[in-house]
Amino acid sequence: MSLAATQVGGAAKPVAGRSLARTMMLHAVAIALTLGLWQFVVAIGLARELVVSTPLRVAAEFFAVVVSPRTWSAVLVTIGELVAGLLIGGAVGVVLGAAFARVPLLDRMFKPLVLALYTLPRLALLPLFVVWLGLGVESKIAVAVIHGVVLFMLGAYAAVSSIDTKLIEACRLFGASRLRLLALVYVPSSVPYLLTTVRQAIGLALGSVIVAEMTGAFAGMGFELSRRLAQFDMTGVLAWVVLASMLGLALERVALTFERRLTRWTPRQQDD
Amino acid sequence: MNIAISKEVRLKPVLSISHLSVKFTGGDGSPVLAVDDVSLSLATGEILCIVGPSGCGKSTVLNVVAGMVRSTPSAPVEISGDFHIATQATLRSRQIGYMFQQDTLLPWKTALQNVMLPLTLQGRPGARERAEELLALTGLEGFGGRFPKELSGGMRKRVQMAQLLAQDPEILLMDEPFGALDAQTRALMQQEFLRVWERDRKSIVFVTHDLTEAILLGDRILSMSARPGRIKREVSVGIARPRTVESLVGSDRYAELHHMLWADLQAEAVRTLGGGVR
Repeated sequence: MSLAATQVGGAAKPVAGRSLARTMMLHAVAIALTLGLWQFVVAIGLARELVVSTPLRVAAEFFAVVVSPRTWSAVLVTIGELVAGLLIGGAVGVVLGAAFARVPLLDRMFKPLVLALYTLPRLALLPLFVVWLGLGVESKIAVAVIHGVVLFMLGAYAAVSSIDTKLIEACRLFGASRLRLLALVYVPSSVPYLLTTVRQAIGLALGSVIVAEMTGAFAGMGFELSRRLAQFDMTGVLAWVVLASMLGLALERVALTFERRLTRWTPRQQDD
Repeated sequence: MNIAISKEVRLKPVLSISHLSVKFTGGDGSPVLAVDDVSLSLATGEILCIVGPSGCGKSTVLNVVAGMVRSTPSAPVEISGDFHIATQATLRSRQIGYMFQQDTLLPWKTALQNVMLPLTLQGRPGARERAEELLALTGLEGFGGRFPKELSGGMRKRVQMAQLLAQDPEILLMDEPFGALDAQTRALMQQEFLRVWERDRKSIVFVTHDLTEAILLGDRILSMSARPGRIKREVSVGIARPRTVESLVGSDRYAELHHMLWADLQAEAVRTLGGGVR
């Protein structure tokens, strides 16, 4: 019962404090069991340490990686590419999505193209970007841009087409100008959609940027990862994988906190 | 005494519509006559109720007056006839208030911010104080900081009422404003609405399909026919104010009016069904 409650609620509730602590303890047990199994499998010789490493060695390497300043300059490169790409792609995507939602002719003209772009495995465009932009940060930014354009276009399209026209009429009768309507209705009503899109985009684009760095780059987390792979340093590879997943999780949490803060008014939040 | 007042003010119409017809384009591209030759006038301080079967175009009349019926290339609308609003102001936005059946409060603004909205848009000073006053008047003191989702349906209607009082328009158009509420809340809101209206007696066109509501609120009632919407009957209610549901329902005049309007509605329903329309 307590498990079900925490799964639905997700976040900590004052009443559920005790069951939350218990759930966290259960999670810790699950993680310990998994890591123990990993260590055990290597210890009895079922898997070779050279190939799978061990949790203890990965943990030790992880701390060595975290304290190294070189690591953080790589992280900064990756985050920089991610943020730059999503800002550019997001801006373009929002404009396109809003235009499609507001102009039926554009919508009808470009719908097949947009759908094709959506279903396309976007990372498959990477070789093109490398040819056009080189192995530097530009081709990685381009990968984030294409994610941003597609996701934010769909997000903005959904946001603008779901705006309640009655709200617009009501504000217009109160004397709102077109510009005021933008700030009064269009933007706030789009915020929940766009913030959800931000979270989606961060997850997808971070992975793609790292993969792009792995295929050829001069810096970044993917570059560091592939360097260790080339040396067959599996402990190092796994330590960087842990770091990357923690970074993704952290960025997602930041975005989620931001989203919760800004969408206190939505009906959905009432249940939280 | 109250009847005398409404007779006196009837001399001066604040809104008059003459020979209004509205033709929409139907789903199959053929023109649909929604409103056919409707003329009416609204006196200062009067509540005019329009009743009629659903789809008779009673809301369309309101929407035309509010400027919400727009012709687009993909959905052309033909509006003929004339309407005239007799006020000194020229900005339509300040003359006409509109209360929808749906919620039109901005969900991302608190109750207080919603009530302040028309005031700030019109650049009036003291918006906050005035809005707080109006929330108190509509029985919402202490709820100003709540978001619409945190209020009940009846409370949201009260906020909408306070918002319209803040806008302070010459004419109020109300399109089944209490239609979405449960019966009890609706009765309560009607009473509240009358209480607030008695204070400054706005001129109101009130569209409803609830006959009791029309008789309770209206000075006059127009009944409309099924599509194409025409005016079938106009009656003066002639029941002294202030009115309450309890005193009203037992009265002979109420029974007489209800019977008459009900017969109108029923005849329209029979005509629509018998004629095989739709």
